[in-house]
Amino acid sequence: MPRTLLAAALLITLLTTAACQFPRDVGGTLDNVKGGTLRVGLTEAEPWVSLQHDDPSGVEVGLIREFAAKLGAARVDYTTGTEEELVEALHARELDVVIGGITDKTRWKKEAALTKPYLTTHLVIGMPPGQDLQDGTRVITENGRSAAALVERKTDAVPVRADDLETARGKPAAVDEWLLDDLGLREAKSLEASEHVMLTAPGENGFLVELEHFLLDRKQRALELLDTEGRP
Amino acid sequence: MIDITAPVHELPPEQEQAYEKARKLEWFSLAYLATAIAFVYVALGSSQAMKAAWVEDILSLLPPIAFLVANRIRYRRPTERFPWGYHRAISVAYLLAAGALLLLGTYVLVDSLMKLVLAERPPIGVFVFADVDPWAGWVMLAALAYTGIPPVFLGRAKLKLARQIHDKVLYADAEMNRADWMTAGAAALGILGIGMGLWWADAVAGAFISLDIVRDGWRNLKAATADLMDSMPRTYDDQTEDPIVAQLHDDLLAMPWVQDARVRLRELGHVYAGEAFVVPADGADVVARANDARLQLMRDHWKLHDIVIVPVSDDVKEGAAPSPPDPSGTAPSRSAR
Repeated sequence: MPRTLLAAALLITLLTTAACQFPRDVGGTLDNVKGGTLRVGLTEAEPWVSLQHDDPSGVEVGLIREFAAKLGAARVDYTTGTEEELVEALHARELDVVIGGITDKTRWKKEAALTKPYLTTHLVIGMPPGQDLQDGTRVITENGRSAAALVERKTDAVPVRADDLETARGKPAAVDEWLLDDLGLREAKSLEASEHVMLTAPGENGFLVELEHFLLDRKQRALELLDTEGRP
Repeated sequence: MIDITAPVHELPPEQEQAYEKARKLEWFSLAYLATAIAFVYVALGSSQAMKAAWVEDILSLLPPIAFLVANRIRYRRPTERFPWGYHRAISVAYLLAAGALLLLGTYVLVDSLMKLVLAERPPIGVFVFADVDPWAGWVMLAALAYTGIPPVFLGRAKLKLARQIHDKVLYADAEMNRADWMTAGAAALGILGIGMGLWWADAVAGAFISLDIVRDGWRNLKAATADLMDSMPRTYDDQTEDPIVAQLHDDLLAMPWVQDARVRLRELGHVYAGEAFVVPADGADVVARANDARLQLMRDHWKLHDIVIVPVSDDVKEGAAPSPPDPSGTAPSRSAR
């Protein structure tokens, strides 16, 4: 009976393999990274990944650097590219992790292994102190984002498109929550939640679990980084 | 006016008791399965084996539901429009369920094989829970233990009752339950395999489980189709012709006015209906005798819902009268003497 054969085969493997690491990577990523190189794919997405300076920076770059240090990686290699290029390389196991403001709504769920969301951020309607969001309130939205559509769909306010949120200082606006303080606004309504994740190569479950535990332990650190990196 | 409707079907006390027990058992099964399905769903992740096990769990809801619905319908009085009663609704439901089983099984099988061919590696990370955040594989194994162990005992209890009341749906359910530990075991090996870094283990386990679902579906589809095509009734495990055919034949021959007889039956869900072709020894009182014989047979055989006695003359015995299926069983060959 084939099922018994399968069971026997698996049991033998189970018994003969030293269970020093569980779950174990299919391709041994975790072993390679420890004392070796962590290969990181980057797509620019402020404030998560910034390529403005010689060295990459941003919330997620900061987290990954700390993760590499924790694993004792000797170096961190950065590769920049479009998400599609990077995910392809990840799937071929030429990269270990891909970051760039990716959320759990990503289209790459089949090609990549998502970490559990390590941080939730919101796109919110910010109101100046003393003002309430009402029907017909004119809310400034940034051009080229989905904010205006969200305002129309989820509220009875009226979106006013603008090139730059700098004009929104002290006026009702749809903004990422970490910008509220700088613009002198307070949250009146959440328009959309983003669950932030990183991408790893599928099957590298030991590495995935290690990274997830690291990220889930450092929610507070992520918020701190967001506070410093999130300034315009 | 002549009554064309079959009588309301009633059970002898012993069978009624067994049915009552089975009914309770099936309600309990449904409640248990609901929790099991929820548990497995929470732990599902991106494992093929878990997906297959989940599909199987959902499908194992069908037999208990079919049984309970059938049980209600059994008590409905046949009407002028549905003179044989509503028993056959079960056969239709049975056919649909078997078809669904086959389709879903095929889907998971193809999906698993694709994953193998494309060498897709299953990612399983942590399960966010309290501050522990264990590897999700452990949660999956716990879910599999919960779905794999209790059905073994449920299946045994149902099998005993199924023998007592000759109920096919209950029998199918019992068999499915009894095999549940194998599904859960295969899935568990797949998960452990992933933990060991064997990417193919999960898809292989998924393929085996879905193969089993496909086999189940195919077997049930065949049985349900045969039911709807009025095949002669088989025993609850589909092994041989139901002995009731031979018993009816013997009972008829035991009546002094019957010179020869043959019986054909069809299954209407839980119960049987059919015709008995009888050659009377002489022409006297045929109508009254046939009437009495019909009532007596229905009284003596609880599974017999309705039977019509058709008196035939000796010379139409061969050829002119519709001939029943090839008698491979014991009884009918005696009448060919």
